[in-house]
Amino acid sequence: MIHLKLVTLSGVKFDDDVHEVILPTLDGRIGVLTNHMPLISSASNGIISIRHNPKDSDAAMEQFATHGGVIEVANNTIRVIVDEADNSDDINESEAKSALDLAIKMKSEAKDNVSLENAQRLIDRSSVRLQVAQLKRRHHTRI
Amino acid sequence: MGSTIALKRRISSVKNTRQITKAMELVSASKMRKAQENAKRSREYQELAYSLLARLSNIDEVKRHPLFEERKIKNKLYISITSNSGLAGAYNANSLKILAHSIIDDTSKNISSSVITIGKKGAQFVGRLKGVNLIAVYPAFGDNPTPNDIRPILNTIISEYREKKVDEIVIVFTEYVSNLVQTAQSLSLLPASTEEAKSRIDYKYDFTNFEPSTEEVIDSVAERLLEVQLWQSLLESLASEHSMRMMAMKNASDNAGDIIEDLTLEFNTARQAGITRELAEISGGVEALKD
Repeated sequence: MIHLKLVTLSGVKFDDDVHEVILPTLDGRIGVLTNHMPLISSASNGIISIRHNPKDSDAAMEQFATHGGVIEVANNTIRVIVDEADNSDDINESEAKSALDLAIKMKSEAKDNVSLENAQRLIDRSSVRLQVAQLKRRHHTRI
Repeated sequence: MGSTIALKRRISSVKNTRQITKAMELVSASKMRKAQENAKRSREYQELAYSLLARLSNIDEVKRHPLFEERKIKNKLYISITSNSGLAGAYNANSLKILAHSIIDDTSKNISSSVITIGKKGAQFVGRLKGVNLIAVYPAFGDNPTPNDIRPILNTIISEYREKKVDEIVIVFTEYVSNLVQTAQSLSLLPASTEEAKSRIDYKYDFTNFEPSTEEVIDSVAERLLEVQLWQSLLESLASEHSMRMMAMKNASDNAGDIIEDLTLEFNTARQAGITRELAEISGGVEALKD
């Protein structure tokens, strides 16, 4: 078992022992199991997947949509600080979709660099949220 | 009898005011609690950011990293946190005083200052100062700020520092010590320092992998640290603002009570005087008729 702690500015989102965690890093997604070597890595926008038990299927994994941050692995503890972490259960797919559409529209209408940058950030965020929501639906229909 | 009517009006007007200040006191009290809870929730994040920094502090690359590099100070950037609205006691005055003193200090040392303000009151004040460059004006973020609100400020200050437009970044905010004590103070954000983190080292590892590169990791950690410092300052200021407004409103309500008491006494005296005078007039009239 390895301990995972998911910390955001608005509080601790996850704090428990798990079997495996798949994390988004700038170099791609990495899986972390027990006795992983000490590591500090930058996290990218993406999905954190948590396998609670060794026998859990991919569909039973808990998913979080995250946006940038730092991952620290040491001493059988994974500590992740991220801007935001949304559990797939809290994301509504149609809402995520409309948020993404809105963000794309904002980008096309952006007049200056600041609003362009803001819109791009919104697009990144909402597309990850949408991905997580779709992942959940695929898994649920399969079951 | 004119004066009793006027007194009656004054009493009822002061009573109305007292109702308003009383309501504002209660509203501020609940907002203050909320802000305190928010500040508490990000504490874990802060701990973690510092412990990461502590692990990085042993690496030589940190000292050469652009965000940690100390330069000769020629340009200073201040971030001032104030409120949008007044009636919060000395909340805005205290932090703006610190800002003004620092700017005067800098001018005497030939350091040019620029300011980013959060909150309308600060913007109004800095706008009147001469020789100060007001870079950006943000309104206060309301009672429920989100981490996304501070992101534009974060990006601005990081790029200003990297492009060497400024050599030090200082935030002026109000620290929330307790319900009764709030102190305005300034805190240096950049160049980032590993000093504070060193005291927090809780374990030591000889080798750690940095992915994708040490540089990149230091970048992320420094950014997180700035983010949490800015966020905490914002929330502490918010809690202080509400706490000071609560005290100000409590004092106002108490004063209104005193005024009402005085006016009521005056009103009763005037009323009694009126009655006595009327009685004297009547008995005087009766005496006159007897003869």
